[in-house]
Amino acid sequence: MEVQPATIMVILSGILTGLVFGFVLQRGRY
Amino acid sequence: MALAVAIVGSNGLEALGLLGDDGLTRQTFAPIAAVVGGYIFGLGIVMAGGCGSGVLYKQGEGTFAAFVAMLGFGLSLIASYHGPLQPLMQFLKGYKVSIGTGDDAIMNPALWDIFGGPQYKWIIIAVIVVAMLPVIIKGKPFGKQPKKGWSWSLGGLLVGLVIIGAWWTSYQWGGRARGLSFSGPLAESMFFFLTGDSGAKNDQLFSIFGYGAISWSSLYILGVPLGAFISAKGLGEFKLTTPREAAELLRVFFGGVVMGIGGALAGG
Repeated sequence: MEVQPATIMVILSGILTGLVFGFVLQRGRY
Repeated sequence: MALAVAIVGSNGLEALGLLGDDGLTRQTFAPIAAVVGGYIFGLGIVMAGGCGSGVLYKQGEGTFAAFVAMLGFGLSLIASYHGPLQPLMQFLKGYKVSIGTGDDAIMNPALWDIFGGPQYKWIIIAVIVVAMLPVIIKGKPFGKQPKKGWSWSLGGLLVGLVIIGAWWTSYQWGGRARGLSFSGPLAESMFFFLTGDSGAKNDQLFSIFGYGAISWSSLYILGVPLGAFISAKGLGEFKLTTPREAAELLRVFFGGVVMGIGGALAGG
């Protein structure tokens, strides 16, 4: 599969998904 | 709670056509690998002091042992996906369950395929969720709230919602609906930082400012400790800690190694 340049939305959506999940895990004591 | 919300929401997204033609990409069921891998993964969790997402978010709280566990976890994952453990993984994953034969065979059957096909999908989902309800109710979801952080029920609800959201965001921007998992993506993230290439075989890869080939899933691995750090700071719970005993560090490291073998074997 050809490597594509990461758009700002690819980077933002990836990091923010993890960020929200990490926040929820910490607050929820998981 | 998280599982119930995620099962209904993810399948709902698929039913609404929001995950494209492929929908939820279900793995082939390899029972021996799943059971043995799951058992090994559980042993590793106890030794390492957290599961795949656990060792990531605990780093955001300042727990050095979680970082050490992640190193062991990542190294054995890479050895399992790309290195000397690969033949063993392939052997144990060799026994797969499919339904039917020939061109009509379903190679990655879902539960409803056992009972006749996709027309029973929502009945099966309803049965599973109803079976979960007594456990959820027994835990008193609207009971006493903790002084800090969220109740287990609110946390579970939000974990479920993030899982649903991740199916959609991975489809929108990651190349395919992959959802949230940690074994494969952690290996991809570490492999990217070691070699410049995530090595994800089935996923779209992206270059960052013209450099390398990273998968979308590798990116959320970076976000998890960051989000936990923000939360822990907000609650005044961030504190750099390290085990006093070297034996403890060794235990969490090898716990991580055991987790990686189990996680890779069980399907990520």
